[in-house]
Amino acid sequence: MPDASAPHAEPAQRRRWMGVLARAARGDLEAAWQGLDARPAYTHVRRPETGLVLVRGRAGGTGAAFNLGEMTMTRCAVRVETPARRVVGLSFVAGRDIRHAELAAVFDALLQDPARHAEIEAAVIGPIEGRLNAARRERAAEIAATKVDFFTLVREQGA
Amino acid sequence: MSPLDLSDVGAGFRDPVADAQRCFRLILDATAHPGRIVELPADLLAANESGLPDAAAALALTLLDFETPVWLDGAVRGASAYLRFHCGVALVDDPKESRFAFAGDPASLPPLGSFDLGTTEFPDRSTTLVAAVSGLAAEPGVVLRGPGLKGSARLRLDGIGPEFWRARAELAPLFPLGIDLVFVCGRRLAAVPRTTIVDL
Repeated sequence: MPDASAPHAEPAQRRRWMGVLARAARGDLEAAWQGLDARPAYTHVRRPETGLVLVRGRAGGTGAAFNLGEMTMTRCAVRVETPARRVVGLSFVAGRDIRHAELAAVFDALLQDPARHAEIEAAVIGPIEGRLNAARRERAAEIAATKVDFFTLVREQGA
Repeated sequence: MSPLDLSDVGAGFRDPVADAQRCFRLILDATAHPGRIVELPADLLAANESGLPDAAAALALTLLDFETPVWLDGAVRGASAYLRFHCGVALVDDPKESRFAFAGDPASLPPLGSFDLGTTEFPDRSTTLVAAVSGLAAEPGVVLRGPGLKGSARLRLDGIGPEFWRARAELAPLFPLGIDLVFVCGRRLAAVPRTTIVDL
């Protein structure tokens, strides 16, 4: 269970929900936002901005790092003030959708707030994560259906 | 590496591109005309929660990036998270390793020679020292002469005493090595590059 008492929670949990927010469809986030009971006011610490990031990978498991390529990314940081604390939410979203980045950052802030974490996790992250996983499974199944097994003929010696 | 605590970090420039360009122009103006006092327009960084004076924060947002290590004195160490988030800078403990140094309390500065004075091949790769002063005006004050000045100009810096200028004069024989100075007071800023001769 995530340690919801600490504003930052465990890094692994935060990575998980940030990933879900980034991969979500903007429409899903917009609908979730409109459906929230108490929509918090927020200010921009960093207004959504689009730029390029250099994606790097590693050759093999522990191989040397290399530059994979550049991709367009939009990032945002918002600050939400609650009576108990102020939280800054971040987002890094592939593509150039400013609204998506903004909503993802707001939800990241709410998820760091112990008072709202459970509510947002259940109402927003859970369903979206479920849809993303289902879509991935469906795609994997489609791809599996196209898998071809190659049978290699081994030549006999001297033949 | 623990995540940076952002809860006290406020906003940077409202329009990063246009605001940085405007601010760069102001800094350039000040540096090209030593002693000229420039002021941030009211709409530039209207809300500043960085822990640095407005003009210093604007300078930071304009000039700093991940390739400019920064040294902060005790008085402005609270700006660490802000600078790391908005500018991507690395903070250094040794003034010698800094490209920019921010001093909230110039009276407690380490010796000027402990900053990076540059090298013979690259004298520009030196520390630019941004010092907060409690008052910034043209008169009365020290007398500035040299490149960028027709004749002379005066600059009054409250909190900067004669011993500071004496220490700076000791670096003069090392020219072109040296450090460049920027003085900030609220939303105003003035620059004294190493080429300027300062008389008390």
